[in-house]
Amino acid sequence: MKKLLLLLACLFGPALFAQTPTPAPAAPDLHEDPVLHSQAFNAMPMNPALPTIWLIGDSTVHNGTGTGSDLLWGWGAPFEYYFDRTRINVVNRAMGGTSSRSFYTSLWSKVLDNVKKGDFVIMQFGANDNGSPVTGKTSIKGIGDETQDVNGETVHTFGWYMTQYIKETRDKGATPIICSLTPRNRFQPDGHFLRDNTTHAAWAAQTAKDTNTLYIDLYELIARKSEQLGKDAVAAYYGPPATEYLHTNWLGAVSNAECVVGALKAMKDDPLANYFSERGKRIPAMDVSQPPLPVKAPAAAAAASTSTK
Amino acid sequence: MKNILLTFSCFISTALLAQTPAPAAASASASAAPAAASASASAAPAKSAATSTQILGDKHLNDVARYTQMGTVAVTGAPGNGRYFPPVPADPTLPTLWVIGDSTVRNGTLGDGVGNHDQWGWGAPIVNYFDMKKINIVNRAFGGTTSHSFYDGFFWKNMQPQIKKGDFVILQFGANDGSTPVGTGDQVNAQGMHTFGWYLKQFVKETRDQGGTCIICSLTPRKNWANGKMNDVNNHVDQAAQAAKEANAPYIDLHELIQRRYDIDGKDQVDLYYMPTPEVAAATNQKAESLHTGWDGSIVNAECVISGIKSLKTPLAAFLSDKAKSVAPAPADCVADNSASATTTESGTPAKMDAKSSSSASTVPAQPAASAKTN
Repeated sequence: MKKLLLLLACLFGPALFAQTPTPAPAAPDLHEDPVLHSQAFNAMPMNPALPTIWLIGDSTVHNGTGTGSDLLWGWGAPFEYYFDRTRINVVNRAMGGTSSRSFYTSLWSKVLDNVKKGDFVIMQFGANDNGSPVTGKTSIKGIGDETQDVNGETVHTFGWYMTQYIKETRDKGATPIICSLTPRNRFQPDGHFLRDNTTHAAWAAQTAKDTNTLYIDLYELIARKSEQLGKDAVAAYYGPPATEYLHTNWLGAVSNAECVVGALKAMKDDPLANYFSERGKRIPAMDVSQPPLPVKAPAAAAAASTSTK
Repeated sequence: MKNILLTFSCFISTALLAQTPAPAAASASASAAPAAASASASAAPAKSAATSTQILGDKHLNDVARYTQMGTVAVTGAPGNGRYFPPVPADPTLPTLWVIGDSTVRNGTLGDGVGNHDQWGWGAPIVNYFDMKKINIVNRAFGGTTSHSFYDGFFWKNMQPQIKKGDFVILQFGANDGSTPVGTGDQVNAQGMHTFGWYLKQFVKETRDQGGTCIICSLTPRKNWANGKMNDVNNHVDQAAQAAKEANAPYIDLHELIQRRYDIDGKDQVDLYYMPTPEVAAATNQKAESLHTGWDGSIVNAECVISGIKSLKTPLAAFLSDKAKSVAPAPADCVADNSASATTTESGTPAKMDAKSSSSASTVPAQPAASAKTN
C-alpha cells in the first residue's frame, strides 16, 4: 500500500507526495525514495549520530519542491548518491529563488540551528544575486564591507553574506565549503563556453581566499566540462523547456553533482574523502590543475557596484 | 585494468550522455568491457552503458549489464520525474526476455541499488544467467506497481506493443496487490478494478497476441520464520498459480522455491539477503528489511527463477549462460508447464534440446550454496 502511495506520488507530483505518511525520524522508511527524503522541506539528517553535509544554495542546487515534479533537478538531489549513507548524512536545504541575502535572512538560522561539530556546509549562491538590492532581494554586488539600508534591513555585499555563512559554520565546529555558482549554458559560435569572470564566481573565489575556506570553482569546472562535451550534448542537460539555460534536468543535475564530487576529490586534504560511497569512489578527481578562474579585480568591481546602488 | 576502464567510461560517459547514436568512444569502452560484450551485443550495449554509467554508477552490474535496468531515452508518461528511462532491447534482432513486476524485481527509480540503500530486485542479477549474445534482457519492472497499476498505467501500455514474436515475458506481482480484488474471475469492482488473476491472465493473453511467451512467477516471500523454517503465507501465491493454470501459462512457484532455499541457508544467512540487514539497519538508524533484497539476496532469488526456467519446457532455457549450469532445475512440484508452452512458443530456437540436455547433464552443482535444489 505504501508503495502504491509512493508510485502515485511519483505520478501525480508533490501535492500527493506530501500526503504520504512521514516516517518517524527514528526509523525512516527505506522504501521511500531516499532522494526525496533528503530533499524535503526542512529535511533532517537520517541518522543524527552521523556527521551531515548540509547543502545551501538556490534552485540550481534544489529545484522547486525537490521532487522533480517539473522534471528539473538541482545537483543537490543526486549528490547524496555519492556518499556512504552509513557514514554521513546529506541534507539538501537549498531553496529555489534565494539569493545569498534572502537565504541568510529567512532560512539560514533554521539550518544553522541543526549544524553540529564535524558537519559540513556546502554553499553556492549567485544566480539570484543580480539586480537591485532595493527593489529585489539581492545582495550588494562585490565583497566589500559597504552596506545599504533597505526598508530597515541592512543589506550587505555578496561577499559579506558568504563570509557570514563561513564564520557561523565554523563557530559551530563545522567545515564550510564554497562553490562558485553554476554557469548559464551559453556557447559562443566558436564552441567556447561563455564565462563571466568578474562577478559572483570571482567574488566567491576571493571570499574563499580571504577566509581560507575550501573552494570549488564549480562555475569553471562546469564550463570546461561543457566545452568537452559540446553544445549539443550539453543542451540535453537543461530544461524542459528547450529554451532553459540555467535549470538542469536529472542528467544535468547528475553531471553537476559529479563536478562537485570530482572537485572534492581533487582537494589536497579532501575532508570528505572518507565518506564516499562506491559510486562516489568511482568518480575521478577532476583536473583543477589548470590556472584557476582569473579574479579580475573584484575589489574594483565591488567598488563599482557600490557606486551604482 | 577493469577499474581503469570503469573510471574512464565514467569520465567520458558524460560526453555520450544524451547522444543517441553511439560515438566511437562508446564502442571503445564497451568492447573493452567484460567478455560478455560479444560482436553482436557490443554495439548496442555500448551506447546504453555509457549513459547508464553516468546515471547509475553502481558497484554490482558491469557496464554491459547495466543497460538492462535503465535506458537512454526519456519516454513521455514515464514515472520518476525525469529520472527513469525505460530500458529497451539492446539488439533488436535477438529475442528479448521482458521482466515485469514490482520492487522485488527492480528496485528504485534508478534500478541501481539506489545509492547506499543497496536494494536490488532479482531482475538485475538475472542477466548474468543468460547468454547475452542470444537474448536481450529488459527489466521493465518498477517499484510500487501492482498488477493493475502496471497494466492500466504507463508500463504495460508502453511495453506491450514492443513485444515481438519469439519474445518472453516473465512476470511477478503481488507484493503491492493487497487492495486488488482477490481471485481470477472476470468480475469488476466498484472502482473498475479487475481481479488479481484477471490481470495476470491479461498479461499472458496480450503477450501471446504479440507472439510471445509469458511465464508467471508467484511473489517473493517476506522474511517470516516459524520454528526454524520459512513460513510466509500469502494468498497471491495461489492466485498466481490458478491464473497460470487458467491461462495455460508456464508457472514458477518462486515463493516456494525461495522459502525452501532459505530453509537450507538458515536464518542468520538469510538475514544478510534483505537490505538493510539487521547490522546495517542499526548503523543507519533504520528498520531491518523483510521484503526487499540486497544484492546477495537478489542473486538467490534470481537463481530460484533460473531453476524454475530450467524445469519448465519453454524454450527460454536454451538462452541460459554457462553460469546457469551451476543452478539445479527446480523440483517438479514448484513449476507447472500448464501444457501451453508447446503451443504458444513455436518460435523456439533449434538449440533448445541441446541446451536443455547439456544443462541438465551438468546439474551436479559445483557449489551447493548456489543450488536451489532442496530436500
